Amino acid sequence: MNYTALSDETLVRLVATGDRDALGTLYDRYSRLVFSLVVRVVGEGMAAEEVTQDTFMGVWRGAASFQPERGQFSSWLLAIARNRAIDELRRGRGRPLTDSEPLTVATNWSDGMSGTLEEISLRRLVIRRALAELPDVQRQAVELAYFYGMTHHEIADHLDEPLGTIKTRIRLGMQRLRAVLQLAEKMQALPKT
Amino acid sequence: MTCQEIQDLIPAYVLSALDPPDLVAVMEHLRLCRTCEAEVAAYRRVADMLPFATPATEPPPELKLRLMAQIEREAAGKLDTRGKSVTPKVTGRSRPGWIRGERSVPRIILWGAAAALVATIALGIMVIQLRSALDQQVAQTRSLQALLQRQQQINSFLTSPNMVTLNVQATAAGSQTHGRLFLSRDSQHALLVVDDLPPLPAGQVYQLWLIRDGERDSGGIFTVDEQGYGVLLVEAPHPIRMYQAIGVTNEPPGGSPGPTGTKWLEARF
Repeated sequence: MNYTALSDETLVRLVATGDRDALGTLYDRYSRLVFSLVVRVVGEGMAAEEVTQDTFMGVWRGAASFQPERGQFSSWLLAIARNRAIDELRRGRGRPLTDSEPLTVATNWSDGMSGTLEEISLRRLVIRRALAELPDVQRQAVELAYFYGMTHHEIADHLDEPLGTIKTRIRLGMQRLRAVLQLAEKMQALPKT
Repeated sequence: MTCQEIQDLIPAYVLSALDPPDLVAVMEHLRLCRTCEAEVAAYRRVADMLPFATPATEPPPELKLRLMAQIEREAAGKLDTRGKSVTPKVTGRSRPGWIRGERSVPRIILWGAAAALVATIALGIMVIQLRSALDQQVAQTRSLQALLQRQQQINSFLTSPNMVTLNVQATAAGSQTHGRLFLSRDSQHALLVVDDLPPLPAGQVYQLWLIRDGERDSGGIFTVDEQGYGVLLVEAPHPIRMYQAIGVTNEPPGGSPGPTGTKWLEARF
């Protein structure tokens, strides 16, 4: 079977039946992206490798619970990776993780091209440009929340800024990112919804 | 809280950045409000893009081997558990003579020879398996190294400060098509994004051509989905600045050495 031609959703279904080659194909497709995200959160080293391995073991063990109608595989995978990386980070800080987010998140990305190097490259290009257009303080607040799992209060403490200021920075930053990404879609630079 | 107050908190909600009182208020509100739920979906799409902003970092090649070994161990563990219930017990009656303590020298020799033969065969199989695994690992490492080199080149292209965007024009054959080309003149890479390009019959692909002084170099082949959306990471043999234009034609599977089909798209640099 030519696994590389199969969609993510088909591969996850095969993984759920115990197909190791299907998991290997998903690893080849996404390991760089997962590892990049994990390194961004926990830094380079053994911890990043262990979290990445643990993320794909999570896919191996939990493939049967993946529900394609609730979102794309890549969103599910990256949510697992992010949660486990932040968990690892907090363990390092001696702070318990309060996991308030479901692993499966809603998304409307077109499924046709997901996972290809081209698709990933395109998303990298668009989001980097969108982030580059944010004022530094807004980008910093969004990144502390997303990559370090910090709450409003924790960011305010970390930056020694008023809580209201942090709330505003995150709101404005995300609003602006949303506007730029919508514009990219209109300009046909991103898949249609 | 009003919908407006909740919607102000939704960007932080999708980032998991809400502290408990706000989090509870948002979750309660979302149970009943479809409008705010739609806002959550829209902001989740933004949050889903953030991992793509991280600098690309290649995992070490041995990580995949460790992962697959862990999966093998887990799978083997399950098989062992299943196997235990069907493994026949060895009874005293069925044990060979040397276990029962019989002094039959020829039988011992026979058992020894059989054991040696089994051991030799097992060793032979193990050597073959190890050699095959080693060959596979060498091939895998080479393939990962090539992939890493390609990714590094792509990263350098994506982070280029000189990136420009070019509108790609449709020819008469592809009049509904829109296309954009992201390129950096010093790079050998570019990114083509097209929309509303007709899906081709089975066995046909689109091929991009880079045109230099009348010569045409292939920049890669691609297909489009049902909506006509397609993306191609163009890999040129020379830096883009050496070319004057691009064109896109339909070609047989795997592409052609030179354009043979209808021209669908074109752009001049």
